Amino acid sequence: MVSVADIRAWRPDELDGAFDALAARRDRLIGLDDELAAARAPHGWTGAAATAAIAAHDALAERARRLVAGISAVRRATGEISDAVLALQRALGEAEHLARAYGFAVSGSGTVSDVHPPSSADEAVQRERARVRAEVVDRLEQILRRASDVDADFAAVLGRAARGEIDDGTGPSLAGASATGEGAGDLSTIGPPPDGTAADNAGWWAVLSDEERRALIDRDPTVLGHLDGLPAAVRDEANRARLAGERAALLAERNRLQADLDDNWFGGTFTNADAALDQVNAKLAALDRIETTLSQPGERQLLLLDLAGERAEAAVAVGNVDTADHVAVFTPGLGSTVDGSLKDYDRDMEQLQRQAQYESKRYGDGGSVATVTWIGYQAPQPALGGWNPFGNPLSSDSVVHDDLARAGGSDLAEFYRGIDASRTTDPHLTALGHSYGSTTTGFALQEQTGVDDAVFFGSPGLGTSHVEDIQVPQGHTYRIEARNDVVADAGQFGIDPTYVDGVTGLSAREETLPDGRRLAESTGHSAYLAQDSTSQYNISVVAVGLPDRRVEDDGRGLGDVTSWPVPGTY
Amino acid sequence: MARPGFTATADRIRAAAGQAAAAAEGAGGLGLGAVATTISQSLRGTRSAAAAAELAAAWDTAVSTWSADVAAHAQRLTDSAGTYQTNDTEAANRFRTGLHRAR
Repeated sequence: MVSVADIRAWRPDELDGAFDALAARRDRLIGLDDELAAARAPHGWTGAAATAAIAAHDALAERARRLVAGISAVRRATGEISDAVLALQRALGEAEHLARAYGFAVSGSGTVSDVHPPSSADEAVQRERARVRAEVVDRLEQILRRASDVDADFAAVLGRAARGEIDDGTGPSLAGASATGEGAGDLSTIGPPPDGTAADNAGWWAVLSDEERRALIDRDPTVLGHLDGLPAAVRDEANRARLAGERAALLAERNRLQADLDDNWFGGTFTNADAALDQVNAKLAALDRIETTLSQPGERQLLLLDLAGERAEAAVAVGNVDTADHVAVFTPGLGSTVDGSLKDYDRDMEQLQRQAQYESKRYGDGGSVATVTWIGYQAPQPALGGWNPFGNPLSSDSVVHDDLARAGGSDLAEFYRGIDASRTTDPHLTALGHSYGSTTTGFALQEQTGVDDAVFFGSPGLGTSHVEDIQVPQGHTYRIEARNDVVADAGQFGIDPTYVDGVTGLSAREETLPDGRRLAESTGHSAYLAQDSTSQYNISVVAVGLPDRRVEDDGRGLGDVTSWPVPGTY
Repeated sequence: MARPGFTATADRIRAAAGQAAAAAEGAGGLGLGAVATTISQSLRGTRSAAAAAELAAAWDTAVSTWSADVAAHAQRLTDSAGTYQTNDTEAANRFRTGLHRAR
C-alpha cells in the first residue's frame, strides 16, 4: 500500500531520464532492423539446412520484436507515470499547504494532526477548521487512491514486459513491433470517486495530469460539468461543450413525442405525451436562454447544466469564480425556472457584481467579485398560469412545504463547498437567498459550507428559528424586509426572520449614504436587487466584506405585528 | 572448380552470417537492465518498484541470451556456407576424376 511518505520520495525527474534512456535503447535495437533482415537465409539456398536456418532466424527475430515491443510499452508507461507522479506530488503539496494554513500537519502515514490549535474558542473558527480538516482528509484519500491505481497499472505493464507478453503485432520489422508495443503502455485514467463529496472531486481532479484532464474534458463533459469541487473554468468548458448535444437530443425527443401525439386519435388524453412534450419544449427554451445569457457582454461561466429533472437546472456566474476574491451565490425562489427567470436574474447579478466591485475598489480591499445565479434545484411553481401561487397544497412540491427547499439546500451546500474546494485559496463567500430560495439557502447553511456571510431577503423563513443553526460566523447573518412584502412576514419555515435573534436587519428604505449617494427604496416582494436601491447596496457591501458600511433597519411593518412569535413556542 | 551459382549462394550465406554477427554485436552492452533499475529506485514503496527490479533482471537476461544466440546462429551460417561449398567442390572433383578414366 502506497503511503504519503512514499509519494514524497518518488523521483519524477529520474523517471523522465529513464523515459529518454529507453528511447535511445529502443532506437538502437530498431537500428538493427536491416542487419536482422539481411541475416535471413539467402535466396537460392534450398534444402533442409536452409529450411532449418530460416526457422532459427525467424525465432530470433521474433524474440527481438518482443523485446522492442516491451521496451516501447515500458517507455510509454514510464512517461505517463512520471506525469502522474508530478500531479500527485503537486496535489499532495496543495493538501499540505492547506493543512498548514489551518494549523494541521500531514504525517508520512497520511494522518492529519492538529499541531497548532487556535487560542480562540470561537465556534465559527472551530467549524471552519473542522471543515478544512475534512477537506484535507478527502484530498489525501484521493491522492492515495490515484497513487495505488497508477502503481497497479504500471506494475502490470512492467510484469507483462518482463514475461515477454507485450504484443508485437504481425509485421516483420522491429519498427512495427515498437509501434504496436507502445499502445500497451497506456495507463488508465482513474474516474471520479463514486458519489464523491466536493472535496473528493477536487482531490481527484488535483491528481490528474494535464493531459488526462484535457482528454476527460474532450471525452466526458457530461460527467465533469456537474461535479462540485472542480474548477469553474473546467465546469464551464464542459457544460458549454454539452449544449449542442443536449439540444439535438431534446429535438429528437420532441419529434418522437410529437409523432406519438399525431398518431394517436386521442392525442395525449390517455398518455403523458403532451405533458412530456411541454417539458421538452421548456428545456429547449432553457437552452436558448442559457446560450443568450452566455453571449452577454462580460465574462460568464456555466457552472451547472442539468436537464434530468422535470425542469432544467443551471447556474451561471458573472465574473470568474476561480479567481474572484469575493463570490456571491444567489438562490431564487417560487416560480424560478431557467427558461423564464435566468434572463432577469443574470441582469440582477451583473448589476450586483458591478455595484459590489465599485464598493470593493472604493472602500474595500479592491478585490475582484463574481456573482452566481444558482437555479440548481426544482423550485416550487405556481399553478393556473400564476393565479395560484401555492400550487397544489397537498403536494410536497407546493411552496407551502419545505421538501423542495430541503432537497435543494443539500445540493446548494455542496455547491458552496465546491467553490472553496476547487481553489487553493478560499474566496470570501456570501450566500444570498430570496423568497423560497432563502429557505433553501437556510437549509444549506445548516451544514458546514465555508460560507462567510449570508443575506436573506423577502424570506418566509430560514428553515430554523435559531441563528445558531445557520453555520456562518457569528454576526454575519443578515435579512432584508421591504415594505409591503407579505411573504417576508409569513414565518412559514421557522419564525419570521425579523424575530430571529442574532440576524441583523438591513434597510430596503430610501437612504442617503455618508458619501452623498442617494439610494431608492424597494417595496413589495420582488425589488430587492433593483439597481441603485438601498437593498442592493446593502447586499453588495456584505458581499465584498464591508459590513461596517451597511445601512441597518429592522424592516418592521404592520405584517410583523401579526407574525410575532409567541415566546416559548419555537 | 565449383560452379559459379553455387559459389554465389555460399557467398550470400556468408554475407547473411556477417549481418547476423553484426546484429549480435549491436545488441551487446545495451544496458536495458540499468534503466529498469532506475525506474525501480524512483518509485519507493510501490508494486511497480518490485516489478521493475524483476524486469531489470529479465531484460538483461533476454538481451545477453539473444545476443549470444544470434552470434551462434551467425557461426552456424558460416559453417553451412563452408560445408555447402566444400561438398560442391568434392562432387565436382569426383566427376572430373571419372571423366579422365573414361578417356
